[in-house]
Amino acid sequence: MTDAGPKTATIAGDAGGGAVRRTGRALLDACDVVGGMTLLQWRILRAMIPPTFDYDESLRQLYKVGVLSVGVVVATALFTGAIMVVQTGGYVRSTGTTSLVGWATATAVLTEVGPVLIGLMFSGRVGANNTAELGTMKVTDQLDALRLLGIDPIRYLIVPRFLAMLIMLVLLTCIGDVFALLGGATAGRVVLGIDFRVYWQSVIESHLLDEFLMGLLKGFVFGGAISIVSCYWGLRVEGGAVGVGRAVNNSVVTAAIAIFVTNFVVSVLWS
Amino acid sequence: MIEYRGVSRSFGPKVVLDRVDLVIRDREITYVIGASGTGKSVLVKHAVGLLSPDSGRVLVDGTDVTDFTEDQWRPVRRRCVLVFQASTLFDSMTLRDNVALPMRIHGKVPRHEARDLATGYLEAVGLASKADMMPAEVAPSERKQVSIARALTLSPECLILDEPTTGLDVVAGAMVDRLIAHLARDLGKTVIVVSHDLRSIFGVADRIVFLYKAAVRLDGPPAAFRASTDPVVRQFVGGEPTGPMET
Repeated sequence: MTDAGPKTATIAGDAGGGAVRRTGRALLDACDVVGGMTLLQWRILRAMIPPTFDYDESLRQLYKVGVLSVGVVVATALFTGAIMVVQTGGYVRSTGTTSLVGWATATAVLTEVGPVLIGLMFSGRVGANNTAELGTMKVTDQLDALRLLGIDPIRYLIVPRFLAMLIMLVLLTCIGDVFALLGGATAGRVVLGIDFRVYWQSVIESHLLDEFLMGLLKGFVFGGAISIVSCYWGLRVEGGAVGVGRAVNNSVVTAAIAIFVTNFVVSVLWS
Repeated sequence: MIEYRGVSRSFGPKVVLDRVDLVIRDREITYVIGASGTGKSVLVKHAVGLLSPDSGRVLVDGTDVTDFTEDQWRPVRRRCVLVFQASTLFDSMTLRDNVALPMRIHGKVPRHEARDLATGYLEAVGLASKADMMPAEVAPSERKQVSIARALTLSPECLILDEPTTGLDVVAGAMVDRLIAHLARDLGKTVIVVSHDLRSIFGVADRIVFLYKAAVRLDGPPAAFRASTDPVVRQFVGGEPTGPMET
């Protein structure tokens, strides 16, 4: 018993010390990531002055990031709008407030559900792809090759991606809003039997310009966050294919967290 | 002129370069050779700022570039271009667009003109007929040749080629050798080649730098290399599997 006391205390102490060490390490890692992303953002902004972008690369990114995402966004938005109406169906029927369905759907879609879900889909499709592409370029020395050709990788590769994601996520949010409302109208008609005219009248009379603009601002902020996060993890890849896989995973998780955090911040500041 | 003054570099416990002193003279074809892992690529990467020495200095044309920032390196890299061992072509572009990229980005020529000029550079490496193919559609050796063509578009004063003939068939290898000779003899460029290819080394080199155990073991013309009585050098030249050489 005399031996067991100190030994138990040592084990407990080690366990406690280990937990502290792990927590400290995790905090340092988080600071490293946030610091790295802030630094990357600064380098991007610095590279945008003077605003000399490569025309070909910018067009390629706008097409890849925006045009190729339209299908996914439309599908997401249609079903998001539809599910909003279906979920409220029971309550609306029981209270006879079908004229409020358009308002409720539009408010939720324009301010929260639309930008967030489209942002998450965008992150999964575009952000992950961007991280994988940059990561592969890193591990195959293509980024170093750019540097050796006297080309700044930030100006040539990252700035067009950053701008494309900012611009395109705002436009995609616009498109998504329209299709979410269409999805809501269709579901209202088919599932609840609400007349199209009643639904659209409810939407229009709700005067939701503020909500619409707030959604667009969120799209803009999410676009910036996703581009910074995905480029950061892509540029940080080390260790071949395994490293690329790990970076894509980190990118998707970090982008999702960034979307939820910035969503909260924008909502609070706007209101 | 590239000058290494007491350059040392380690990766963890492994010392790759140990107080290396070396001068690469202008307009010469210098081959850096040695067994795998002896720091040949590490040495040349110091000349373009991809690596910094742990101690010692690196000078390019008399300017100490050891502590240069990325922005300061950019103009140096346009004068002295390194072509990697593996192809570093951009997957999303055709071979022609890959070659046209540096000319386009540096704004020397309009886009369509850059593409026309790129075809000429591809012709120099015998690949003009494949100009519109993607890098994935051509052989690795051809990708390497396109990388050389792309580097040439910058009209560098110095070209560093990391194992340019490795993996190439005899004809393609000879074509690269001829290009190296043409660059130095006719165009007055400095060419540094990292290589294991003895046929290429003895066919083209003006000077050979043999690295062994993190240091320069022999530095001289091919004739001196052939005549060397150093058993390590003899084993390397003879390609003997056994001998004093530690790998």
